[in-house]
Amino acid sequence: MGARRVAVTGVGAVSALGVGAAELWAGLSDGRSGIGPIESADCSTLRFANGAEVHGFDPAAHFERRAAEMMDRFSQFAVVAAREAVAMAGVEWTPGLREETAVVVGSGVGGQISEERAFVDSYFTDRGRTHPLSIPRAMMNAATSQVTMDLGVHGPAFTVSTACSSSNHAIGQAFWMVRSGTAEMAVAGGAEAPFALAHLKGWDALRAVSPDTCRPFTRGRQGMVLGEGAAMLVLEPLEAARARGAPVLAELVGFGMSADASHVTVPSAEGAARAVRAALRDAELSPERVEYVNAHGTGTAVNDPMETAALRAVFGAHADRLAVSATKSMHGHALGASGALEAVATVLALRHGLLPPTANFTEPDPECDLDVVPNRARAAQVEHAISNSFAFGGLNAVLAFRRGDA
Amino acid sequence: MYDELTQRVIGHIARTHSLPEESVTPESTFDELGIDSLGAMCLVADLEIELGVDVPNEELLRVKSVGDAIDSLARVLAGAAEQAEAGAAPQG
Repeated sequence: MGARRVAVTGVGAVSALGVGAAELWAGLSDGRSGIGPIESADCSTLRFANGAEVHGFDPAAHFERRAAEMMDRFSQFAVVAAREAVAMAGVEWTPGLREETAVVVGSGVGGQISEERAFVDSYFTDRGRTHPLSIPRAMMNAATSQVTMDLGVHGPAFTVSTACSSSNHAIGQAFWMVRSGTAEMAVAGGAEAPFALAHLKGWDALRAVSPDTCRPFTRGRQGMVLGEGAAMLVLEPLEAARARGAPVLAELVGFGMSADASHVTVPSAEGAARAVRAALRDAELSPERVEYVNAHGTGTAVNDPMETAALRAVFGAHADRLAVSATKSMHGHALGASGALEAVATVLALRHGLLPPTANFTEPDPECDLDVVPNRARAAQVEHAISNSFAFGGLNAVLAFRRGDA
Repeated sequence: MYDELTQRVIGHIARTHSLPEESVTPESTFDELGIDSLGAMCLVADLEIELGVDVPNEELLRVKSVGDAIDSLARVLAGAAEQAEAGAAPQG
């Protein structure tokens, strides 16, 4: 079988901007930041107090009590986002389609909240007993498994864990399976719920988190801001989508990966550039046809100039014609879910002809001299876009998209 | 009228599984109540913590009904009481 074109026919999201892809998009297109004081953990012993938490997520609104108890928060987010994506795609399940649908979910840290509870119970309660569901809730593959059970699909299913690139690696694997004919449909994305105190302490110790907000590409930026949530995409062959009259929100056209093989926390521009080039090569796309980049754009001192250098290395003079925005300024850095939230942002940007901005931008940094779409969304009919994810450990993954009606 | 332990177990099952209390009796099997083996394990774990006891694995494997759970917990509670009494007795 030859390579097939792959359509994105549904998206779902849970983020600091709200429960639902429409809520995410409304926030992104308004340039509204979901960053605020952290409510789910006591931050009095941390150097930061702000995060991009999902507020108003009531498990009882989505699950029976027993079903909710089986899941850590990150799995609950994953299932809610997957249901939304499948509903938007108007999937009509048949036994055959259930057999041939894949589920690939990225998560960087898995069930941190459940793990922390088990540790606290073990070390600090009278008899050190932990809950029997500690392991089924906390395991890294829990979100993937819960999505397969909720949807009742039996195809290839696995979890990808590559820190902040987890989602892009997951979506990329699913994309390749649909393109090659290994799967007839895929539900792919990422999920994360990292607001557990010990985990926050780890980030605090790394001195990577901003004490106020996330200002990617801004002079004097002070770091990332942690987020949480999930996002899912439904992928299927373009021809199958057209045949059943499904909405083609965008086409997923390329996926590229690389390893820096240099440093565990300091990213390399060559490594990032290698992944961008690999995605363009996979998409058979020349660099000058790309118009929008959803940046990794964490707002750390190190990432943003590195990413600027990588884009200049790949795109040369065309880099000055790229619109580059960092939506982490609004949905926060949801670690393993970030790539999926950004993939949804990119798909909807192509769909609506509107580029989400880099929010919280105050002053240009000469080391990040790109058009970063500061603070206000910009109307632009864009044909091709890429979405970057670069992880701790130097593992990079880049997705390339084409406008649906292109 | 049930004894205190029976009432506690029935109340816990009804609460955690959103069942009317009168539908749960010592004769109810977990199958009938729609509680699978993982659910039964969670139930016993909750009650172990509440009552401050340990139900051994071999006891847990025999628990198929509400009555089985009550019997197991009663046996373990009786064992714990005996031990406490022995421990409290003057030595030598």
